[in-house]
Amino acid sequence: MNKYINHIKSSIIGFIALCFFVSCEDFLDRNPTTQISSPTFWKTQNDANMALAGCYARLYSNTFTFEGVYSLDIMAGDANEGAQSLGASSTGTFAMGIMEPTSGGLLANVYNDCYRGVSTCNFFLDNIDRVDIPAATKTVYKGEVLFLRAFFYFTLADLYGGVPLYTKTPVTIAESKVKQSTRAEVIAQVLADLDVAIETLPNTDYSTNGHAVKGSALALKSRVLLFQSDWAGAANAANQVMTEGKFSLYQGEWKNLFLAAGQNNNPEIIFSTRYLNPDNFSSQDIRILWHGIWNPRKELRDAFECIDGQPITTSPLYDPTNWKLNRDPRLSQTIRAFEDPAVKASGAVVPFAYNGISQTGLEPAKGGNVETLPIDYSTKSEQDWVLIRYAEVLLNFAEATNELNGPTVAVYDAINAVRARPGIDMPPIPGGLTKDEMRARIWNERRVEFAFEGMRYRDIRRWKYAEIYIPSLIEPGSLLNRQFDPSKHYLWPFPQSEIDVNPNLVQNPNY
Amino acid sequence: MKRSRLKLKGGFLWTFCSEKNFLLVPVMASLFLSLTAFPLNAKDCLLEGDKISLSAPAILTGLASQPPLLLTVSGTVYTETGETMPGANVIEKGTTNGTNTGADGKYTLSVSDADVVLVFSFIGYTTQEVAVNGRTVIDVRLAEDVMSLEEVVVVGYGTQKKANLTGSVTTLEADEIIKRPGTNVAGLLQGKITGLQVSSHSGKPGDENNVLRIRGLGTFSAAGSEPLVLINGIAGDMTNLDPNDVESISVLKDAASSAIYGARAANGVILITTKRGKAEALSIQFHSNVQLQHATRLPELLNNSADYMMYWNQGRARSGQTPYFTQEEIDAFRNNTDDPVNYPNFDWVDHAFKPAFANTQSLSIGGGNEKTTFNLSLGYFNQPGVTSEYEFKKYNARITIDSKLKDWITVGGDIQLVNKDIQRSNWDNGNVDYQVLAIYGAAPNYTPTMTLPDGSTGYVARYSNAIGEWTVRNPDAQDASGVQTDINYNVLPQFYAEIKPFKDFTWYTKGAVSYDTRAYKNHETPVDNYFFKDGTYAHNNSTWQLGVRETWSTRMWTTFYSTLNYRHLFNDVHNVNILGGYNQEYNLDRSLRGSRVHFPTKELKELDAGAALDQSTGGSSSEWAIKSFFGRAMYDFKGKYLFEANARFDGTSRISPNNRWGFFPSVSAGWRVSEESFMKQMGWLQDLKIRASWGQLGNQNVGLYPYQEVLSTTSYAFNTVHPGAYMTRMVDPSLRWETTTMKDVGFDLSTKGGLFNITFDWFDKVTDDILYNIPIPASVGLSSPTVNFGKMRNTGFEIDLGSAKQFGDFRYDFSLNFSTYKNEVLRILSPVYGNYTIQEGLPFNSHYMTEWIGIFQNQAEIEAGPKHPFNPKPGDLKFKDQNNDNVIDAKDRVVVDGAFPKFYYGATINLSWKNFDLNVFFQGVEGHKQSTQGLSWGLVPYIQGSPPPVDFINNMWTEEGSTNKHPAMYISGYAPVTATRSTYWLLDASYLRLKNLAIGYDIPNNLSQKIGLQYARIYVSGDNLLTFTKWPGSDPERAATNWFQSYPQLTTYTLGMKVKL
Repeated sequence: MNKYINHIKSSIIGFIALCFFVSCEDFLDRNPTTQISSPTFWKTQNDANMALAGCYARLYSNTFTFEGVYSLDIMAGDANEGAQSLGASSTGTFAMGIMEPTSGGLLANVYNDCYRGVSTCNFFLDNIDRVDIPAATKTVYKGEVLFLRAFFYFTLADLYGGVPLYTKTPVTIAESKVKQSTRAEVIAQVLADLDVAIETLPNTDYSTNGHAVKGSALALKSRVLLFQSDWAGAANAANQVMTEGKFSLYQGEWKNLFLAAGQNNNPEIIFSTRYLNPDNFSSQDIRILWHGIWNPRKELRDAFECIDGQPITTSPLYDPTNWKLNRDPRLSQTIRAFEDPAVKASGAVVPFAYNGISQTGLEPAKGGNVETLPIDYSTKSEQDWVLIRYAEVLLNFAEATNELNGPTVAVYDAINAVRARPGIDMPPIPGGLTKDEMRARIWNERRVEFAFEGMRYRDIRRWKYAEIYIPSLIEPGSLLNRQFDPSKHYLWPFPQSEIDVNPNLVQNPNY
Repeated sequence: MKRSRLKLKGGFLWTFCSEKNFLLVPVMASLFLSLTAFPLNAKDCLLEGDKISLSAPAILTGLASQPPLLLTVSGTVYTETGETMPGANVIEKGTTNGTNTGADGKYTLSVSDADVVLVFSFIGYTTQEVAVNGRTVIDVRLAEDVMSLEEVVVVGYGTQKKANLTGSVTTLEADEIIKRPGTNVAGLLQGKITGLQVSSHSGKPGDENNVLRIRGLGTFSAAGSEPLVLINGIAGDMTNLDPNDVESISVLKDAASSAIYGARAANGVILITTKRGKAEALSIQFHSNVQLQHATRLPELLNNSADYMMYWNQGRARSGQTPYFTQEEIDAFRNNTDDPVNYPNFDWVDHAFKPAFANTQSLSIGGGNEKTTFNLSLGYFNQPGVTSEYEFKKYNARITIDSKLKDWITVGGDIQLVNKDIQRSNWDNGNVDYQVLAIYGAAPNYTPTMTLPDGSTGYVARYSNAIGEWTVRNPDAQDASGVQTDINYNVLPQFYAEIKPFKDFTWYTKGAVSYDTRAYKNHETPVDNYFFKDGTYAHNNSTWQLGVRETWSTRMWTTFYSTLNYRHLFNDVHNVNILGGYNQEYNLDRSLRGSRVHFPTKELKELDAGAALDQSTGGSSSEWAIKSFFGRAMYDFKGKYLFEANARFDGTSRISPNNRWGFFPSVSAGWRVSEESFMKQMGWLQDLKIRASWGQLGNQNVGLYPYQEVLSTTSYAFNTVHPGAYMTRMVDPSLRWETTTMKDVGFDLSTKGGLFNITFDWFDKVTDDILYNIPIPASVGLSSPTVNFGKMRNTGFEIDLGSAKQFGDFRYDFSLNFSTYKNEVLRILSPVYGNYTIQEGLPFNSHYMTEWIGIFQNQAEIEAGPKHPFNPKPGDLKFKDQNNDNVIDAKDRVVVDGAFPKFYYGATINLSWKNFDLNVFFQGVEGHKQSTQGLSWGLVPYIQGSPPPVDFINNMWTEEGSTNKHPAMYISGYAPVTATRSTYWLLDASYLRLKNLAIGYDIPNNLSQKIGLQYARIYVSGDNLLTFTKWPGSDPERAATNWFQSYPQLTTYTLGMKVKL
């Protein structure tokens, strides 16, 4: 019997131990260790700062950095897809006028990237009032986020027209399946957001700390209104930036405006996607200097004037056997010949070792830092991607004013300021131009000044010039003409998956 | 009825009934016959299953007729692996004269004649007959009988007699596992078990990446279809095991057998037990082998430089591109074949793949007394790759101790220590074997290195800078840039206590901690490359991951479980066995990584040696926990009608507290038809059992925190980098487990003496609530929530056939296994029509492509037929216009079979004659197709400069009527051939392989004992000796990576020996 008592004893101890394991209820509660739990967030100043940085971090996407923007320049006919293109590889097809709802690629990226931004902004605006921080801080933060939301929605409206408009995070999936608003309604929301931002954001420079400022909102407003052909409004907003004097043209070497070296405290940059090594970096140099993911076209090269301020068709200085000679200094800082080696600041001459040949014999120069050569996958690029700069404000002003009042002195002053900046020193636009002549000069100035900044594609669409220009282009490989159908191609199709999921969304015309 | 109990010699209990019938369990029947105290003639006994009827006079007659004894024979009975076998029966054939072996396996028996035959038998082993032929010393070795009904198999939280199994369980014994010389247990299971499909990705040392699927692809969600692997009851990694340590492997395939593992058993369970010490004198065993390995199959690529250059020009011309080579250059190669320095015809495949020598050493020391036993084993394996830089070293140690403290308590445990050191090309990227890609892609018109104009030696990038496109990296230059090392340790101590508090009760408790550390390091430095033609500088190898990158990670996985078992035989007919238990596990993963880019020299490889500029760090951790209650009840009536029920109640941290507990039941039944009296008349029948089961299982691998609304962290560079947070996904907090419901019906049949046996199982496995990312509008700006939505079915059957017989000294043993299943998607939200299609009613990810029907022979044919995209020319691919709309477009895509194999099979033949044995093992997969379109270095001509395969050159279209097999020469990116996804690129991956052929010789005991060995065996073996397949060039036996090139499987020749001291 004693023996059994021992057994019972040991068994009891064992079962107590067992019950100990069974009873600890928290055993199954395990939370993520590298992510923040949403319900416990939105309390402190630090939470607000993180949420704000989260909104800005949505700029780190194809659409708001080099890759997506270059794609727009391919679409604009200023470049061709590189032979060894490794990225947005269908852009060449879209550029040919073959754009379908199922195409994906760029046509879906912009949609997705913008809406990720919108959703992050809405999530911020929905929750920021839960945080206990000074009202003044909160107001500025909201202003920044409204600016960002306007920026995202404007991009959507520009490319897709009317899109679904959410100003709050949809709570249920059903709630998210709304019909698109009209383009006018989206633009109205953009302008409303910008007006709040203009009122609440600090009136300082942008480049010092990288947060959107009043000038950022004003400059964007001038762009939005210009795209609406609201000439007076566009001129007004641009003029406000010009008169408040927080921004000015960069006085350093023009190419450095697009490289990290020239971007610190740069008074020309009004808004940008910002990088900082070692953790926030892009692969811009690899893509430009090694992969050669897009090849500039001859038409763009030829759009640059000679140093006498005349187009190559009329300038006696133009040498058809050497296109580099006597040209607008911006040309060599935008485009280089495929066979040219790189010359570093030290004078060292190194080969590019491109990963693929250029279909057009040209390679991009703007935005690529030759000091990083020889390049490899560990090269981290930290040049900011400039989204709005002062030169645009000047040219917005010039274009809007010219449309409104014809080529006034103010128009001349604005465009000539851009041409006369140090190191570029292009002669002033000849006097006595008609409104149409001046318009042509402004259009070309925008083309060369903003080459490879995504502006051209959006410009030729709003000018309704795309239907004339694009079909005139012949592809170097296939010798086929590009197509542009004005009945559909001024707007992009909604991704088919979007139409499938959201029964209320109506596809854009003729897709 | 009068009943009395008698105790017989040998310690067995039996019952004597007044009807003079002896009711015995079958185990005792043969023993009874061997007892010398009752020397009976077999004809006097009427054997009826577990009853033996005999009459008292017969006993008397037996005693009286005992013949005079003439000769005394003695000897030892061993197992196949040389262990002595106590308690084996030795009988003089045709008589009742016999004896048992003692504790040391020795026996002595006096026989009536010098020419009699002795019958050696033991439960679970094949009976052997040996003619005495006047000898006085006869040692025998008994082979294990795999079809034995008395065999005990390992099941969830216990063991069970095979005869009483109602579920579908296939087992594999130690000897069968180590017949092949591999060191990866997962690989050794290939082709051995019905229902278990093992696909080996490659022969890469230490990275075979075997993919295991039990009864098909269970789910298409990220929860995965990997079976649960338990080593001595603790979840573990099969690659950590030394196959020499394995005692047995049980594969639990149906719900009945695996439901006791509940939420983790949806994909089946593999139970592995390791060898433990035996109560015997110290035994030392040593197993050693050396292996010569070479690549099994390699593509044959064009290595004539002049042709290579000529065809490239031709292909480019077809794409409207200018030639890369002048006719003079081509002629120079053609005319200077005696100048390999300047005009090489370099064979890169031959250059890069070399035979390698591997070796395995395994030492095991075991022994003990009746109270305490122990076993210590040590293993070592070294395998250099068949290409440069690759090497795998593995060190294993395991110590096992079991101690019976009192007659009611046993404690014990084992400790496993494993070190796996893997070295790879620094370019290795898991799925993509870039080194092999580079070898297949390198061109014959340059050599790995060259003499530069300044007299030094440099690596070659490509032929010349006139080739204006990226060609593959020079594999030798890549080797020069550094290597990747991956050092893994695993420590797994586990301890148990088994207490028998009362009669019929067993209480078993085990605790274990598995601790893994991994140190991964990639080192890469730039290497200058030059153009072969003129020695000018090309590039610095464009390294991916310059500098040093290290990741250190650890995993701690603790397990605790406790079971209480009650078994009792009521009234000798009602056999009850009930088990209840509790299990909990906790897993914590941590990792830390760092990298630096700029190092002063190539030799310095530690992070501190590098500059801080561009350094980066990171780290993470994650955890999960699971808690479970489970139980099993088994009942059988007279071992004839078998019933079993299992259930498990699982709670997991991965699911929200509201839904976290899941219940997984199963029931099964078996009927041993052969035990019915009406079947007894069939003298040939040994066993016939019909089984059926139903059950539900879960799949808990639903991600770690899928139900929690979390913000992802990010950062943005204002003037300094500031941390940020945003929401990235929508969350469905009502997420549940995936549930698999499985039905299984089967039977086992075997004839007496093992001449024929068959096991058949039909199953139906439906997985419901498959986790599915439900599409939401992208305009929500969040990734879609995971919800329970999809449903999929796998139905199929499995057959095991076997036959074994002994003829004198000759014995054969044959087994064939065959498995097939059909996969069908039952429910998805919206069908997918891409390169693969997912539709209700079709196998998951069915091939979906345009049907290729030949080669355009002339322009008239092109114009007459439907309009093809990309303006084809004669010599391009011709496609079928399925919808007859006269245009070839996406609407002409059709579903093509081959996404899953039609069936897979394995066959083993064992032959033995005296001390020789021969083992042949075939394995194959039929009806599997794979498309490698676009990712095919070694298959597609001139993809990044790759030389075309010789088969392509020999069978390509050249002129009208030349062929319909391959198109005219093209280059990568030539749309009429490459841009339409077509069946031209769908290759048949079916194969039949002679996986292994081994010949062994057991040195006769009298010989081996002279040199102090109890047992000695030598063997030679060959792996992957023959392959029958239509797959071109590379290896058909590969996981669905969609890449054509892969590190090849290995053909291995092994010379080995096993000895026992």
